[in-house]
Formats: sequence, C-alpha cells, structure tokens
Amino acid sequence: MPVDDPDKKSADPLDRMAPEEILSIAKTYFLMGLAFLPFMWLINYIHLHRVARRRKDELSPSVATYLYLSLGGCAVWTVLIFTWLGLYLSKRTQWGEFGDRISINLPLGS
Amino acid sequence: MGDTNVELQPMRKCSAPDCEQSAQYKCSLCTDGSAVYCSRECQLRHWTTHASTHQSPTPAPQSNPVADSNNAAQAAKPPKRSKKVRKGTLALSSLDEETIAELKYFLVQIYSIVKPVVVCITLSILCMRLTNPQGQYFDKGIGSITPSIFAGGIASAAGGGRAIAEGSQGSDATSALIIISQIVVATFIILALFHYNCMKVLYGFFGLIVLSLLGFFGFLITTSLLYIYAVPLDWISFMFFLWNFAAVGLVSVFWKGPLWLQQGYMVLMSVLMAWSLSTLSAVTSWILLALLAVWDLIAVLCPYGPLRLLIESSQKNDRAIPALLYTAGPTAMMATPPSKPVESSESISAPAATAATMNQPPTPMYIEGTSEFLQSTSNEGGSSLFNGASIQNSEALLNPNDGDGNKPSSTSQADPLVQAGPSTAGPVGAAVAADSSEDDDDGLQSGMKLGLGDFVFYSVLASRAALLDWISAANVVVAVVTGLNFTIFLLVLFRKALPALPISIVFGLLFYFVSYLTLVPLVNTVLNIPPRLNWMPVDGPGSALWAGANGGAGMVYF
Repeated sequence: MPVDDPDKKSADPLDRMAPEEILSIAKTYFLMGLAFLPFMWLINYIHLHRVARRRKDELSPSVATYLYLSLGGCAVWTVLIFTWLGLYLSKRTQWGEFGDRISINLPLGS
Repeated sequence: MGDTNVELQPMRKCSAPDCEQSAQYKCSLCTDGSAVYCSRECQLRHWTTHASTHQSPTPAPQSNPVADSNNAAQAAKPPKRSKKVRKGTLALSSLDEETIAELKYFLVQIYSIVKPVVVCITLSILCMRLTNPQGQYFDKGIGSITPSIFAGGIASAAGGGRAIAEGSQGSDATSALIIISQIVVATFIILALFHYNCMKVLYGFFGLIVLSLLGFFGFLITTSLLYIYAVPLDWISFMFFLWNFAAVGLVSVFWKGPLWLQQGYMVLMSVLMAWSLSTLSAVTSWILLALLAVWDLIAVLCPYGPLRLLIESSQKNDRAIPALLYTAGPTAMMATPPSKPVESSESISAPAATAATMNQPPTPMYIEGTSEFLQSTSNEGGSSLFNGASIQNSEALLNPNDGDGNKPSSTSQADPLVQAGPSTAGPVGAAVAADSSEDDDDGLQSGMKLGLGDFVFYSVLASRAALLDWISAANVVVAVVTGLNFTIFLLVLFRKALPALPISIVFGLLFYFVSYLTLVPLVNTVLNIPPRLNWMPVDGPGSALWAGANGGAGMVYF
C-alpha cells in the first residue's frame, strides 16, 4: 500500500496548516498592514484567499473578515496613492516652491 | 504554455472507486491512458488494484506513485519516456538504480534552481546597464569601467577603475583582498553564532542586513534611476512605496509568507547586493571573484571548513540556517517511507528527500496534469513571478543557447509536480536573508538550496561582463549556468554539500576573456563597426542599454 499519511495529503502546505495558525497569519498581516502597508494587505489576501475558500468550514469566519478587510484597505490605498500621483504629476509646476520641495529630482523640461 | 499538453483528452471521470470528480491526471505507466484520476489520493487508493494491470511488474508496491517529472517534453510522452528510462537503465547498468532515480530527481531540481539564477543574472545586468548610461566607459577597454551616477556616496569607495591603463593593479588587488577577508570574517562570526545557538542575535543581524539591503540599496538604485531618466516623483509616494517594499520583504522572508514571494525577494536581494558590488573597478571584481572561488572551495570542502561545519551543525541540530539560502521549493518529491533505511555514513548530508528517492523503483509512475491545471497551480504557489513575459524575453535574448532551462513549459511543468509531492518540510523558516558572505549550495532537506552568495557573485560576474558588451555577457551567462548544472551533477555523485561558485566562476571568467579577446573583435570586424562611435545618442532612455565597448559587438539597442 502506498504511504497514506493524512498529514501529507495535499500539495499546498496551507492545507495542512492548523486553522489557528492560518488565523494568526491573517490577523498579523492585517495588523501590520495598518502601518501604511497596503502591499502587506494585498499579499495577505493573495496568500490566503484560496485556502480560506477551500477550508471554509474549519476556519474561523474571522479569517475571511481579515482577508476582505485587507483587500478593501488595499483598494482604498491604491485609489489614494494614484489620485495623489495624478495630482502631483499634473499640478507639480503650479505648486511652485512646495512642488519643488517634495520632488526627488527636478527633471529638465524639454 | 500550451505545448506541454500533448494528450489532453475530453474530461473523464476519475477511475478510482467511489469518486465522481472529473479527472485531471492519467497514470503515465499505462500506455493506453485508460486510468485517469482527479487527484493523487485517488490514484493512491486505486493503486492496489490498478498496479496489476501494468505489463511490467512494478516493484515495491509501497512505493509512491508520485509524480517525478523530467523535462516537459519527455514527461508529456509517458510511453516513450518509460522506454527511454529502461534503455537508460541498460546503458547505465554500471550505475545502481538508486543513482538513476536520484539523477531524475535532480533533473527536476536543476530547473527550479537554474530558473531563479537566470532571472537574477538578467535583472542584475539590466540594473547595471540602466544605472550606467553609456558614454563614460565607452570604448576604453577592459579595465576602464567607472560607475557613473549614484545618489549616495558609495561610488567613491571604489574609485574609478582604470587599473590596466594606469597600472594600479596593486590597489585593486588590495581592495579585493579587503573584501574577501571581510567575507571570511563574517562567515566565521556566523558560524560561531550558529554554533553557540545565539539564534536571536543571528536573526537580528540578518534582519538588519535584509532591511538595509532592501531599504538602502533599494533607495539608491531607484533614486539613481529616477535621476538618470529624469522621472518626476515626489518624496511622499516614493517613501511610501519603499516602505511597503522593504517591510513586506522583511516579514515574508523572516516570518511567514507565500513561497513565491520569499523566492522573489531572495532574487531581488541578490540583485541589489550584486548592484552594490558593481561599484568596484573591473580588475577588483575579477580578482575578487577568483579569490571567492578559491575560498568557497576551501570553506566547503576542507575537513574543518567553516561552511562545511555550518551545514553539518545545521543538519545535526535540525535547525535551518536562518539566512543565505534560496530554497527551490517545498519539494521532497517523494514521500518518506515509514522505515527509511539510512544510507551509508558517508552521506552525512544526504537529505531526507534524497534518501526517500533512493527507495524508489527505477521506473516510478508519473502523474500528468492538463495544462490548465498546471497553470493554475503555478500561479497559486509556484513561481509565477518568474514567468513574466518580459523576463522571459530578456532571458531569451541573453541566453539563446541555454535551451530547455528557460522554457516556460518546463518550468511550469516542474512546479506543480514538485508541489504534488507531499513535502516533508514546509517553506516556512527554510530560507532567509542575504549577506555578502557567500554560502554554498544544497542542503537539500526540502528541495535544493543555493546560497544567496552564489546568486550575488554570478550576477556580479555577468553584469560586469555586460558593461563591456552583450556578446561577452551572453557567453558568461551560459557559462555560469553550465557550471551550475555541472555542480548539481557532481552533487548527485558526491551526495554532500558542494561549493557552487568555483566551477561557474572559472567557466564564466574563462568564457569572458576568450570572448573578449576573440569573439568581440571578430563580430566587430564582420559588422564593420568602427572602433569609436561618437555619434551614438547619449541622452534618452534606452541609451544605457546600448552595448558599450569596442563598438558593441552586435549592437543590441532597445
């Protein structure tokens, strides 16, 4: 008989991880993401959303909550940062000295 | 990626009893493809009854019918393949079956190691070219590379390197010696910390290094790129992006994170490290690389070499070295059988995975997936990072001769199959951090491991070559990867940790100088490029990618 260890069934290590551990990962990533880290939130969602769906029954519902909060926060941040970038790039010259001061470099105009 | 899918059949139901799902795999020992399964578990359940239908007696029923893939082309044709294996068994009858099974295992491993190495080298070359716009080192010959613009002051440490021209080889050798002695000292410090179990100190140390690498050098490289290409960006969003980049890297490398992210950050850290070493003058780089090869040889192979001691003590105490290693994947292709016969005492570092492989019959079964499945899994956990089209394009550009190592088909084939095996060790905690000290490869406890130092110095070699011309760079990349393959091959024979630098570095240096002295003048003559090309545009993005010295040998310009 082939080895049929229940621990070693699945390809994805997340499938073998204890539900509490997944919860702690989701929670920690979410909390760390509060420190202006939307990328952390994005990673959290990408990393865990599949396993959260696959093991819906065993995992605590707060895992899904953390994941959706992460995704939502990441979306908000994305909108924010792109709005700011758009503002900066279009209004930079009109802002005068302030615009120059927050610029890393002052590209020469052509 | 569709070419792996030679025998896609209409969806069928899983052959295992009481399973209603549609099948994605077929038993590759069956030449008619009658047995199909939805998962490995189903195949395992069905195995007792199914195994008897095979023509050839399948030895060792306790063996695991787990996927063991070779390259994509072969794995896609199971009947042919098994024939080939049998032939191979005859031809290599002097080798025992264990070694053959192991060779197959290593074939899979080679792909999962070569791929990140090539990505790393390619990225380093790009960084190097982009931050060193042509013009400064233009047509000055071998020792004349001066790094141009750096936001920080690190360039001053290296000075301008006109070593050969001005005959200041003494100082170049001295700075190479200084760097190598720093590496030696760092290695001993790490060994001592590891030996006395000061893991917290070690983690703090490496955390600091990783943070400074990602943060500081990330800062330097992005600001110099912004300056060079005159991209307007404000400090606020720049700091925001950098903070996100560095913090996520730190957390995923030292704590938990998806494996692909860890691998990606490993590669990026190596690139940054190699870039920071690019400020050395050319001759210093060459001397340093030669010295490193020697040091690697000593440190790994001498009976009391520090790296050897480090690896042995890590295996004895079952502690992961908290740094310096790129883990190819949570591999362990085969399950470890319950009673694992330990090999001879000679193979101290023969890893669990390899020991398990040795128990396999010479013709294990192969599970094959449809290409959809392959893609989805490789996106899920594999290194989809490395499948970016642009990266592949540049790989193809730089590496025309290195055929099968870089094909997306083979890599995506390897990943899910690797994952299909039950892993003995999770990805967590296996791999961490980078350092300027080099480490050798392959602890092999969960897949093959390659020291980040190896990544770094391969990249240094290739990007240094790329500053001169593209032909030498392509040569060096091919030579380095060949050397790496050779090292992995030797690994199978010797079954212990081996230094990954010496063979690759020697190949790389040799090929670089040969192509510099012969191929580049030849191509320049053939293409009738005048030795000096002052009319080349200096400004504008892309000019940095223009192939530099001596007319550029082929003139890749994009």
